[in-house]
Amino acid sequence: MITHDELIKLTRLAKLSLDGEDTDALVADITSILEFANTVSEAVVDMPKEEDSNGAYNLREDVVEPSSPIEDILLNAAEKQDTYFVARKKGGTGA
Amino acid sequence: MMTIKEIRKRLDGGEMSCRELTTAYLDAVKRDNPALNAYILLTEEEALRVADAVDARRAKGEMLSPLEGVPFALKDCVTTKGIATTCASKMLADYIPFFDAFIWEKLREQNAVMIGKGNMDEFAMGSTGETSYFGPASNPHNLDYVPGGSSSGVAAAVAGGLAVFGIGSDTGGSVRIPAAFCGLVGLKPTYGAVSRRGVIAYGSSLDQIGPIAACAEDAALVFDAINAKDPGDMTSVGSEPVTPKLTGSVAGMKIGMAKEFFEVMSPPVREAIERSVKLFEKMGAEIVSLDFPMLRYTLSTYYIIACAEAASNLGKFDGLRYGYRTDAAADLDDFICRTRTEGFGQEVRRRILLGTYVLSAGYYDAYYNKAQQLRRAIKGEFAKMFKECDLLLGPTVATTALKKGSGLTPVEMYQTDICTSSVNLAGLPAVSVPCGFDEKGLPIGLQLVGPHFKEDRVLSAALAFERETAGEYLRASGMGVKL
Repeated sequence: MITHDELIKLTRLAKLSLDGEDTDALVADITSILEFANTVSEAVVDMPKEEDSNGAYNLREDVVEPSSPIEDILLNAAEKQDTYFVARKKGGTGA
Repeated sequence: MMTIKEIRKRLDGGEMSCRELTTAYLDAVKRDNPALNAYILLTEEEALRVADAVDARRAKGEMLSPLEGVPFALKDCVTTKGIATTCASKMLADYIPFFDAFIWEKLREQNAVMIGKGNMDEFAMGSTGETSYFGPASNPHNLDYVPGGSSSGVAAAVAGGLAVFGIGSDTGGSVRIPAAFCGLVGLKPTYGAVSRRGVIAYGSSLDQIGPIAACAEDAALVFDAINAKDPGDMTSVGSEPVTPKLTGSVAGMKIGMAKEFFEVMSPPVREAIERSVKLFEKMGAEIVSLDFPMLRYTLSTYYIIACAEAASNLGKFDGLRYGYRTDAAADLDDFICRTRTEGFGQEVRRRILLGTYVLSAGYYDAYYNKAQQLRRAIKGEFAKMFKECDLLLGPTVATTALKKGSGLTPVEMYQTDICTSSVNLAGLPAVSVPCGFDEKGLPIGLQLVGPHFKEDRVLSAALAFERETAGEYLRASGMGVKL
C-alpha cells in the first residue's frame, strides 16, 4: 500500500510531476503493482545479494579518442547559445 | 509474405531489379500502413538509394551478400544517423541522432534495404503495442487485435507483407510475443551475442536485439548478419554464424517441458502445444518432464529489475540537451519535472515510479536486492534443467492476441510476459515459432529455449518443426506486397 504522501515524495524523487494526474487512480495502480511485486518477499533463497549483470564485462583499452563535434552534440538542443546548451533558470526564460 | 530465399532468387535470377522490388514494398506501405500503423517513418529516399547501389553492384557482376537488397523494418529504438529515432515517445518525437547503432552499421554494410522505422510500445514498455505515442499498430491477421509488443510495428510489417524481415528488441519478450501474435518466427539471442550500442536502453541487463522473420532460416540469416563482437558495447561477445550449423533435425534430442507452464495456458494454446509436443516426439525427440518452481517469481523479479534499470536509464531525459522540453516552468527543478511528465506517456511514468520506489533507501533490500537474489536462483534452475535436456519447450504467450483497447490493468498486462521474461533474466537464447491458430484464426506461438549461445540448436528445432508441419502455420495475412 502506498499513501498519497508517499506518492508525492516518490514523484519528486523520480523527477516527475503530479500535475494533471488522477492521483487516486495512480495510488491504486502503484499499490496493485507493489502487491504483485511483493511476491518476491515470499521466496526463500540462499543466494548472494550482488547485482547480476547477466554476463562478464569486456572492458576496452583506455585510449583517449576525439570527442564528437560540438555541432553534432548541439544538433538536437531546443535552445543553444554559441557552444552551450541553454537551461532555464526561472519563469520560462533563458539562463 | 515472402522469405529471404524467395527474394534472393528473384534478385539474383534477374527477374526484377532491386529498385522495382523496393518500389513495390514502398507502394504497399503507402497503401496498407494507414490500416496497420506498422511504420512510424517511411525512409523512401534511403531505401531507393541503397536499391540503386545494389542494382549497380549486380550489373557489375559483384557477389551479393545474403541480405543485399532485401527490404526490412527497423524498430524505432535503434538509432540511425540523420534519420528520426523516436522510441515511439513524445519525448523523442523530433530527435535526429548523430551516430549509428552498431546493428544498423552491420545491416548497411550488407546493403539491406530499410523501408522504414517500426512502431513500438513507448520506450519498449508494453506487451501489446498500445503505449506508442503514435497510436497502436494492428495485427494483420485481424485489424481489431493487437500485434503484440513491444516490437509491434516490425511484426505487423512482416506479417502484413510490408517487409521481408524486421529487427526488434527483447527485454522481457518483445521480439517473441509479437512474433507469436502475428504468426512469425522471432529470435531472442543470448545476452551479449548482438551489440546494444546505439539501441535506446530500457533494461540494460536484459535488452537484446533480435530478428522477426517469416521462417527459421530467415531468422538465422539475419542473426548472422548482426551477430558480431563490438568493442563499443562492453557486454558484447558475438558468436559463431548459425546458418551453416542448421540441421533441421531434433532426432535424439531431449526436449524438456516444465509442468508449471501448463497451469497458465489458455485452452487453445494448451491444445496447440500438446499437438506440437507429439510432433516433436514423432520427429525423434525425447520429451522430458521437468519442474520449474521459480516460475511463480519470475514476473515480479523481472518487473522489479527492469523498472529499476528503466528509472536509471531514462533519468537522462531532462529536456536540457535534446528531446522534448516544456514551455514554461517556475525554476530548473520544475522545468525538468514538467518536461518529463509531459514528455513520457502514462506507462513509462508508472514504470519510472516503480523503479524509483524499489531503488529507494527504505525498500532497496526488500525489492531490488531480493530480486537480484531470485534472478540468480532462476538462472540456477535453468542450469539444472539443461543438465537433463537439450532444449526447453513451452508456449510463448499463454493466450492469443488481445483485442485492441481491452482495458487491461497494468498487472494484467504484465502477465503477458509470464512465459518469456525468465529467459531474459537468465540471458538465454529462445525462439518463438508458429504452431497453430485459435478459433478466431489468430496465431499461436511455441517457444524453444536453449543454453547460452546455442542459437543453432533452437533454430534447428524450429526449422525441423516448420518442415514437419510443411509451413501449415505460416499463413499469409492477405495484406502487403504482391509480386
